[in-house]
Amino acid sequence: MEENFNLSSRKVIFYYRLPEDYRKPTHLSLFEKGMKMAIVEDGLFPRLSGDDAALFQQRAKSRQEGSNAQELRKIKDGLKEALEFFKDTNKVRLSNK
Amino acid sequence: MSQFILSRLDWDDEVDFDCNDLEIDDYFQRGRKSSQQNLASVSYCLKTPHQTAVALFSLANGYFQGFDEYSRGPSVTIIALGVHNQYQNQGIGRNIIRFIQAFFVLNNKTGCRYMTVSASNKVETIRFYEDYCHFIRTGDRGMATVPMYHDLMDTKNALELDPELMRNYEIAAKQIMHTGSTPFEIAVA
Repeated sequence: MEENFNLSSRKVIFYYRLPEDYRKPTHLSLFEKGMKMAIVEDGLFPRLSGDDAALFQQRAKSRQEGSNAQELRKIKDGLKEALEFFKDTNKVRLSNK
Repeated sequence: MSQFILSRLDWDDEVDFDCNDLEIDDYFQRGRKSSQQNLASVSYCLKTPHQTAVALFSLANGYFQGFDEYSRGPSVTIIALGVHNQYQNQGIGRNIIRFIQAFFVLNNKTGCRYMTVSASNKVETIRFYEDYCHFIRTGDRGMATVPMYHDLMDTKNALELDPELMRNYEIAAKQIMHTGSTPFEIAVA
């Protein structure tokens, strides 16, 4: 069963179905006992195929190779900035728009 | 010194908010309520001590489908994020996302490996997620919105580089879990 909700124009789809991934024997017994699984899946993440899959794989690979110490330090610095940022509202100005 | 307050919204909370984006404003004024009533999303509000709404964001559970069996898993999806038009271009949005990333690493109650978003297909929006929040985009050709994801393992590994930073985030995360809100003064030792 599929139910669509339109949250403004951002579509979120609720799937009440047995996803392929869970048809594997290790998971099947759960469903045989009548358990249902509701998965909220972002409707804009379709299963990729063809060129899109290749492009995605290429980007993920290059990104993975780039997730070195330097990349992690950048992420860490960002996290530190976030924690400090919210400490003081005086850092945020009311714009004059 | 005055701190921001982050709190979870009830579905019927009224918030005076305008981020100059019709779609996002409409979602926060109307869509958010039905979404929250249907248990489809949860919304949070970042406020000043004077109760002025500075930013709103909504989150939902999701499932990220990658290109092979090693890149797929449960995710947190940013349904919408908006910063009030009088507080834009000051780093609020990016710091909110970073905070959420750390929160989902440290308060992982049900398992969450990825953060996803369907970003508007605008150069500045894509750059915002890529450059400041370490998202990767996928399938961007001719789409109104661009699916993007962030691997929370990167956030976890980054936090592990700095034990003190991790400890401070853990304190903030626990505060949110216990009270539903946090003054950020607690988050910083």
